[in-house]
Amino acid sequence: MWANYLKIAFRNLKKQRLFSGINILGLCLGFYCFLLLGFYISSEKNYDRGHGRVFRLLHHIQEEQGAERTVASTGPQLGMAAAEQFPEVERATQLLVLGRLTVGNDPANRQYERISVVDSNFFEVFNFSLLEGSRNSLFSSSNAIMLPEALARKYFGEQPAVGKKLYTNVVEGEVLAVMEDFPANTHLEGELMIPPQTASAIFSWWDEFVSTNWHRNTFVTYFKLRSGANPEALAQKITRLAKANWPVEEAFNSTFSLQPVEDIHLHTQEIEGEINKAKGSPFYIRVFSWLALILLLVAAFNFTGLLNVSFLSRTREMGVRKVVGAGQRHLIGQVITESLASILLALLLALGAIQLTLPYAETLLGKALSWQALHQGAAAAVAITALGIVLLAVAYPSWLVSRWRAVRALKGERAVAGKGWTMRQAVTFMQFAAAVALIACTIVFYRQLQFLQNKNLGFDMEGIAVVDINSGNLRSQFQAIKQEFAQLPEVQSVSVSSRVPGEWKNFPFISVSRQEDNPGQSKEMIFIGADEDFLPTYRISLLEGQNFSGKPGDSTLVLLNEAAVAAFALDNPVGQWLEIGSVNWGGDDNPTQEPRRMQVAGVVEDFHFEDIHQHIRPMVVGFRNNPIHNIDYYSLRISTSDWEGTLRSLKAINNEFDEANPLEYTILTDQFNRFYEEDILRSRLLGFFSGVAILIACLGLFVMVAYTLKQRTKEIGIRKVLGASVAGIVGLVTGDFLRVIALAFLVGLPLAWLAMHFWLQEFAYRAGLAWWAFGLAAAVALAIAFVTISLQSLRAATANPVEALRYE
Amino acid sequence: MIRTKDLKKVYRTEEVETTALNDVSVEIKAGEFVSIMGPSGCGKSTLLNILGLIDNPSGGEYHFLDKEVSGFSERQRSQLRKNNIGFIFQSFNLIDELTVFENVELPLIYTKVSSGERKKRVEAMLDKMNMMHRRNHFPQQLSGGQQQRVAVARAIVNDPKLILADEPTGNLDSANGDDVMKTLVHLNSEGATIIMVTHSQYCAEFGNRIIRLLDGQVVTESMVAKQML
Repeated sequence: MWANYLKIAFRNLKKQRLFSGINILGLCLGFYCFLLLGFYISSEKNYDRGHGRVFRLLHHIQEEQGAERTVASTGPQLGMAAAEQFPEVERATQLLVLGRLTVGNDPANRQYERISVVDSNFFEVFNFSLLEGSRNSLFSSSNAIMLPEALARKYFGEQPAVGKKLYTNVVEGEVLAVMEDFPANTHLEGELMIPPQTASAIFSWWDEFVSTNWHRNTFVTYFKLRSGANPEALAQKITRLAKANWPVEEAFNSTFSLQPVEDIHLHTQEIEGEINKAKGSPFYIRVFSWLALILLLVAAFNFTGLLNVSFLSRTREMGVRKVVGAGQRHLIGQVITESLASILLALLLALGAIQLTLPYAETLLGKALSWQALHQGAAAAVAITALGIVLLAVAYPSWLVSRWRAVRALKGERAVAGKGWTMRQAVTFMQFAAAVALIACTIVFYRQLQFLQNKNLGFDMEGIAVVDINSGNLRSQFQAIKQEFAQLPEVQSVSVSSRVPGEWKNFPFISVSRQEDNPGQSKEMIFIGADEDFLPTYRISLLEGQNFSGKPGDSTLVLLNEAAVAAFALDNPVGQWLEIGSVNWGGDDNPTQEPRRMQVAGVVEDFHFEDIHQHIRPMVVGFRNNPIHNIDYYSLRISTSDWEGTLRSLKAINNEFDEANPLEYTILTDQFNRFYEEDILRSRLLGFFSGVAILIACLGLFVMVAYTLKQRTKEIGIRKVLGASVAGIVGLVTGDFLRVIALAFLVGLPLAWLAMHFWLQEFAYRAGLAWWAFGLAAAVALAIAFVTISLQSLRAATANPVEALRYE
Repeated sequence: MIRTKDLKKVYRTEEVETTALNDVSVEIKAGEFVSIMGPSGCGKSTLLNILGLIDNPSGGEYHFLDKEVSGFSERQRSQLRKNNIGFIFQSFNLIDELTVFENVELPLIYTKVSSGERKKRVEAMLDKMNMMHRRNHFPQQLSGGQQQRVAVARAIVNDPKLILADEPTGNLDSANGDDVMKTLVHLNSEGATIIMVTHSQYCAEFGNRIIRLLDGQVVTESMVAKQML
């Protein structure tokens, strides 16, 4: 029986090549998008698994204004004491990121690498293994270095790394272990690692700090819990433990919680002090999930519609089958078998297409889709969901087919178009609602992106190169270096500052108060130290008052941005005195020895020194020579067509002063473009998927129109004999479809408006929802639909009426 | 075998109500060959479809094989149909996508006959109908007479007790028409009950009784004087 079904299925596929092709292509596109997005989403959700019950300790700090900050690190003693005292903890490991060091296997040629301290429990808590060397030697030596495989290969090629020397600016170490590279799906980053014994030998502060400190947010602590241990209860015990040991001079406003490591990748948007190399975005995971579902539904509806049409044209066959003995069950079986054949074919094609187009798909998704990071069960679940949804879409028409009365079917009668909606109309409706909504979203999002890219940043970043100051040598001789940079003919101006716009490191926050403010009324503001050339180099406008003059008196002066003036509601800011009470380095407040008094010298126009997605925050610009923050960068305004040559000159100057620390630079436009990268990716992605949706919708429409015309051939012939014009007939057919499509717009566009309204909340600066974007989307979808319909109806309308009448 | 009492069939559209059958009472015994005649639209085919259980009456009683079946569900009717009734149509109604062999095989598939047995029976049937040489052809490749022979083969391959023929010669020339009629008479002589709708007095006289319908009602019933074939 199944053989008979399949035989018929195959012959029908062959006989109706065009329709079958369209049908399978549409479904294949739907599967392709759903599977691609599904695999991507499940690989994003499959991070840091396979280590058991491992949690990260989070520190929540209650701020004065009721706000709460969460930091991923704590004082070293807290983690250690918790591991000792609480039986729930099976193992604990702590990790300290030291920052970046210059490293090389030749002392004169070094490169920047990140370095961190890991203890011997690291391999007990996490399920990673050593490729070379042993833990015993690693964790007992005072100048040991551990490398991940990739770094070992970078420095030592194919030779064994263990036993080799590596030179850094703090230690001359020996590589005693090589560990496997961290897989793609972990928050941990492969970097140079040293054991605590080595850190203790290098840093004089280490032993005392580690053995006494409870409150400085420095170490990231991971606990492996025993089975049955309750993480919430343990977190409460840790909070009590911290409170009991907190230094008396520090206010205790903290609570602690335990975060499963599996959640780190996606749920750390607002957490400071992170080790999380590529944070995932739960917001976009949700967006992608919806997108995947919509596309599959569009394709499934398409399939349902086409299936229905194809079986409608086979009513006689179904009738005959009934007469010779087929029951309802047989007919359902036949429809399902035939559909299943097409569905499986489309699924296989989609999987093949994913494999073939993987490099392009990865560009589109902006991220490598690693099969190894993909959980097999999750992948299967994605595929089964896809199949399930499509099978549901098939169930209704098969049931419908099986219920046809034999005698009607035999006469070739089809379901008569009643007053209600036919399945065809419903399918067209649903598809165009989805397609127009996606097109509208693409236009709105693209417009937002244009808006951000063209937004006036408040400074001119074209031609700015930022050079890092990476050593004490380079910092102490900055005036000489600055002068040499400035003498290069292509360099128009040079400035030094502690932070730069588009900053990639943390900004320090200072608490600022006016003289008349009571304690506790201070405001947190970002602090930058800069010299007198900062404003001219960046072309930042001074609105009131004076810039720094470069003379010694500058140290007591500050500039405010407009946001800072607004935060204090100052009427005449210039000349006012402010007090700076403490500095906060992304951890906790460190009171200055005594409050420093600073006078406002001028007010600068707001400029975007942070990611363009954020509001401009209040900022205080102090002089380069200040007690808060050392200078860290040169900013050079360069006008050159020979960038390579300029770079050589800059390197030469750097090497004159400090050969051991190579020149490190950033082109500021590149840095800012990084802020749009994700948006560009997402707009491209959205554009691609709305294109797919409208393509599927048009494929479906094409077949629906063809079928309608076939059904109405005789009617069209009679109308023509009676004198109908070509335009009249095209209008007749086109009008019916366009009415449904117009209705689809009425539903799709408001949904798109809602979706975009929520999406734009992600942005601090918004282009707004222009009505024309929705009008344009409707016009585009309508135009495509109109062409699809009228081309075919024109052919029918211009045919010789006799042919139409002879049709029967 | 068949007994109807006041059988009614009414078609309703939104505005019009058409009575296709009006209180038809007939009785047909096993082994009979009954012809139903009457002008176009008199209800012949409607009656045949109801008797063949592919349509249901709007009222009245229908006893088939001593069972009252007018209230049967489609599932029950389907069961009765596939085991007892074979259909022959004016327009043959072969499935275009299936070969001659597969068309004839279809009823056996639905009654779950094993594949070896199916092959034997289909081949025997095609042989009998002189269609073996065409077994792998598709319906469009055959002449009208050949198509109707395949349709007859399909109708009787399951050894039905009742054969219903709706103008079986309507689309055939007289020579092919005669062939089909002879086949029906032969089947009747082997014990099959046959009910045939026809326009042609000539064809009707192959049977042994003629029922004439007009406007949905039986007007006369007459026995056919047996002639030599």
